[in-house]
Amino acid sequence: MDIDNLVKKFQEEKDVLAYQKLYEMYNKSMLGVIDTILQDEDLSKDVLQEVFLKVWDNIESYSPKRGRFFTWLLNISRNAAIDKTRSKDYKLQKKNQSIDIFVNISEPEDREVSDEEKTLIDKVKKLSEKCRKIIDLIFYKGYTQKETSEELDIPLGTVKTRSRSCLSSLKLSINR
Amino acid sequence: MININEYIESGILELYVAGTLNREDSYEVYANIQQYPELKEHIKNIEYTVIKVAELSKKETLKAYPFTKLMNAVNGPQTKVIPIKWYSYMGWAASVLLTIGIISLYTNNTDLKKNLTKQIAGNEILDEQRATLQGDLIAKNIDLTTRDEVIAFLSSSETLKVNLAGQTVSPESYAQVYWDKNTNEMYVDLNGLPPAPAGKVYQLWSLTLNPLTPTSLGTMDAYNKGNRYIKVSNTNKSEAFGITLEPAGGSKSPTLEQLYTLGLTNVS
Repeated sequence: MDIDNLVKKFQEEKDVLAYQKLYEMYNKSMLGVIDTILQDEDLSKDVLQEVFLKVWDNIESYSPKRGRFFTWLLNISRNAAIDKTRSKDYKLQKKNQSIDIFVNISEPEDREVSDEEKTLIDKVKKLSEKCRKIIDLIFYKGYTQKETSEELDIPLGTVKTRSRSCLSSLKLSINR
Repeated sequence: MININEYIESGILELYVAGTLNREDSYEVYANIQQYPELKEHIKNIEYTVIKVAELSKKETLKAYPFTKLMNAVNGPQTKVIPIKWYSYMGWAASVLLTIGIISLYTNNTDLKKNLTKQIAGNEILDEQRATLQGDLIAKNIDLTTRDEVIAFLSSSETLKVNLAGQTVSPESYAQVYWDKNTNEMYVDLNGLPPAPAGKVYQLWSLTLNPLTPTSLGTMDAYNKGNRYIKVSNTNKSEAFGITLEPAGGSKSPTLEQLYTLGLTNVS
C-alpha cells in the first residue's frame, strides 16, 4: 500500500495493522535520529516507544496539508529526544556533545549492508563538509531556513538551493 | 500551470520534506503534489533518501522494541480500575453535574417530580405488560430460550432502569441500561446510538462519582454485528453509566471527547 494511503487508513480507522506497518517502516530511521541526539541506546529505545505512543494518541492532529507524515514523525522524535536531554538525570551523566547524523555512517561498523546502502555510504563519504552541515541542520536538526543561514553564515536564498543540490548528491530512488 | 522542472530545481520540495516551509507555502506544495504526480514521485525519493541516511546512522546493535511491546503500552495495563487524574475528567464531571442540576430543577417542582425524574434517570420499574413486550424484544435479539428469564428480570422490582442521555458529541443519542444489583446481571439497549464507524467500537463504563472513577464494562462489539441488546455482568457499585466511542479493541480509559451517552443510576 502507498504510504499516504497507509497513513490515511491509520488516521481514519485507527487500524492496528496500518500502525504496525508504519512502525516497521519508520522505527529504524527514528531510532537513528533519536540516538544521534541522546547517544544512549537504552534511553533511545524508550524514547522511540514514547514517540510511537504519541503517534497513536495524536494521529488526529496530523494534517497531510501541513506536511508529510514522515516530517511530522521526525519532529515528534526529535522533540522527544531533546526533551530527554533536558532531564536532570541525563545532564548528570552526559556531556551532551552534539554529533551530526553522518558520524556513525562515516565510521561504519562491521555490518551487513545492501548494495543500495553501500552506494549510499560511499556517497556520504564523498559529501562535502558544507553539504554535511546543511543536510544535518535542515533535515535532522529542525533548523529553519533563517537559523540555518545564520548558523552557516550563508544567504537565506542559498539554503534552499543548497539543500537541493546537497541532497541530490546522495539521491536514492524509492523505485530503484 | 507551473514549470515542473523549475519547481523541482528550486529546492522547495526538499524544504517541504524538511518541514521548514511556512504554512502557506506548505499548502501550495501540497496542492501541487495533488495536481502533478511527478512531484509526488520526487517528494517520495527525497523522503526515502532522508530515511535511509537516518537508518544507516543507527548503530547496528541498536534495535527497537518489538511491536507487541508497543501495543501493550498502547493498550495500557490490563487492570480494570483506572486511577484517575482528576483534571482529565473535568469534562465528564461537568456533564454529571449538569445532569444532576437538570434533575434537581425538575425535582423542585413537586408536580413534575415523579414523571420527569422517571423519564430522565429514574429507577423505573416496568409494569408487567411492558416488561413482557420489552422482554420479548430483548429475547428476540439475544436468544429465544431466555425469553421468560428476561421478562422475569425486567419485571423484577430489583431491576433498575437507567436512561443514558445523549452528550455533546451526539446529543440525539440515547441508551438504556437494565441492571439487577443483586445478581449483577445487566442488559444494555444500544438502539439509540448511531452505527459505530469502521475500526471503532462503543465501550460501556461504570462510574463512581466520588472520586470519579470509570471502570470498563467492556466493548459493545456485538452492536457492530447488529445486536441491539448486549448482556454484561456488572459487579460495581455504579453511580452512573457512560458510553464512549473507542478504537476497536477498546481503551484503557474513556475518550471523553467521544462520550456519547451518560446517565445516573440514582436520583436523589
